[in-house]
Amino acid sequence: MLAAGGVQAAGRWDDVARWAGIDPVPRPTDADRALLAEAAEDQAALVALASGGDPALLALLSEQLDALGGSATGASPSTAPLSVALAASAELRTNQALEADSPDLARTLGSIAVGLRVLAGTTA
Amino acid sequence: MNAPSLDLVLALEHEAVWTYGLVGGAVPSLRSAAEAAWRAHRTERDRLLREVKEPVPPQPAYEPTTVAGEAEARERLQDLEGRIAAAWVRVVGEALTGKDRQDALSRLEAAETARLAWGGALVAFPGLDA
Repeated sequence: MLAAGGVQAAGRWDDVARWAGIDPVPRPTDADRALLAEAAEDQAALVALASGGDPALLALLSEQLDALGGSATGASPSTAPLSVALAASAELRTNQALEADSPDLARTLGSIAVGLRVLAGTTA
Repeated sequence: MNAPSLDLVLALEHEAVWTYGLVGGAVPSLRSAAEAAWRAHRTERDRLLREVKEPVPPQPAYEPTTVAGEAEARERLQDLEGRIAAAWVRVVGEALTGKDRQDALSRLEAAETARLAWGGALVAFPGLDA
């Protein structure tokens, strides 16, 4: 579930890009706002699924969700096994990275996609 | 692919070929793994030499020019693969086509997988985490 204000919280992914010294793009397009909302919603379901499990994994997933401007409060957990859900979200995040207009959003979504794919491999 | 940061990737691939050669020669316990990685990075370097319009040349050597043992080698290779991942994540944002962006993502994943294989810790944002 997106936090109140939805993509108004989108500045967090600019923060992620800024850590790497990449200049942020100040105004997301409508298409990017939609992608970000979709990514945050899916990520929130992952965090809900991982809650109560490995704290280190939960921390990484929550950090990603925070960057997407989302919140796991009230989110419905995915019904799939965790490793399957991680792999599916990695694929979704990859496709979102490919569709993103903003270079910084593409980088952030792409980085999260790789992180999720690695996590899927370690939880299998 | 036409992306400004490919120059940076090529410079890092030159460094990787040199560094894996150093580790393979100096750390017997890592020789086999380092040799496999050296071959892969040499192939990637040669691919980039064909792709980049004005390729940067390799440096004669990369500091530090020695490695003291397995632990130090692993740390150095984690750092190197992390910098390669960071370069590829830049390319992700610069790629002009979906195919090129997909290619950059695949190479980002390969670098992150290598960083972890040398003992790196899991991170939330491969290539973007400082």
